[in-house]
Amino acid sequence: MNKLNLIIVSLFALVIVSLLGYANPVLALSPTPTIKADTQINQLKDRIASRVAQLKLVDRRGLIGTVTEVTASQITINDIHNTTRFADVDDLTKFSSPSAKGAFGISDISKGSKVGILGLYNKQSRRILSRFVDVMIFPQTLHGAISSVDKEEFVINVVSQDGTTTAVEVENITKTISYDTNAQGTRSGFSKMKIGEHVIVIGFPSKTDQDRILASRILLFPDVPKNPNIKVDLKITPSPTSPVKP
Amino acid sequence: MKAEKIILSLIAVCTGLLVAGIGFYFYQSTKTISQAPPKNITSIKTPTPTPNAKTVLTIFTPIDEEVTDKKTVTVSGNTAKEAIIIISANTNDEVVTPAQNGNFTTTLSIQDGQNILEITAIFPNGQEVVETRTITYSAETF
Repeated sequence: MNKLNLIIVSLFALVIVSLLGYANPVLALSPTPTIKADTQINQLKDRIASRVAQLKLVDRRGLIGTVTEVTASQITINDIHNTTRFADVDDLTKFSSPSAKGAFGISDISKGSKVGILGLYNKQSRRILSRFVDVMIFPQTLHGAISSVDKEEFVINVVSQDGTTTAVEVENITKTISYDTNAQGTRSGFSKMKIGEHVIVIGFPSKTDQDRILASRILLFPDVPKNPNIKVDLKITPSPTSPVKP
Repeated sequence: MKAEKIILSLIAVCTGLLVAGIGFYFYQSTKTISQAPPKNITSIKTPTPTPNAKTVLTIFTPIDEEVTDKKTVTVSGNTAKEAIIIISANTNDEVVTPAQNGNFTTTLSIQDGQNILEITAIFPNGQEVVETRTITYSAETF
């Protein structure tokens, strides 16, 4: 009886000791201190981030856009990404225009003119405090395919992805370069322009006809097909020949 | 005597189970889910279908509306390796082809004041993707 009791008690003792031995390391490896440290690190990170954000709240930026509204203290523009932007104007703001002959100020800026604004941009208020406001003329870029070539008037028609056709005047000063698929450019000219050719035109609107572009640079890509989004059928049609006089 | 042994054994088994149960309860209660992501588990990324995956143009530099005091700007980005890249500034153009991984980089001179950089990728099928950046040259301090 005594032996049996001794065995049973020993077995119990063994079970208890083994269980405690298994449980104790788990208790010792309590994750609470790690969580506390992580929380502290995260709090510190947040503080640093907010401080950095505060320091970087204002930075120098330059915008380009079309004026939609002008008041004595604010210019509203529609920027190149078609977003409405607000520019504040104060006593330190300087204005300029290439066409201005005398003093030029905010009252001379009209709706629809293109301006470049340089100033301090506040990321929180999303407004720019203008330091320089310049009325500028920016070149227009036309992407498309040549739809017709007028060899008498030196005019090409370029059809764009949206289906609009724009007349482009090719002048003596127009720089025409033809590029192959390896981006190697060779000088080209009006005589080498073909209907259906992939083209990029950079120029300025004509003073007489705002729908026309006076090309300053023409980039041709004869090895690249026309944009598949251009749905206009560009077939080479024979130009009418003048009747032969007897 | 025999009955005594059996009863004692039963009590011993019950006590053992009780102790084991308490131990197990303790072990379970101290367990916490680790906040850190497990290192051994590798996430399987399923490819999401992107429309016109080949006609993508990403510009790394310059940042839009950036103001610089240097007359040359580095334009870099990534696109399809077969594309032709045209970078047009106010007065000049640069035409380049990307590397095998699609990355491209080139430098371009800019004018005083605001410049519009138009970066165009023309793909072999004729499709175009255009990205625009405004970059300002200014040596003024304010």
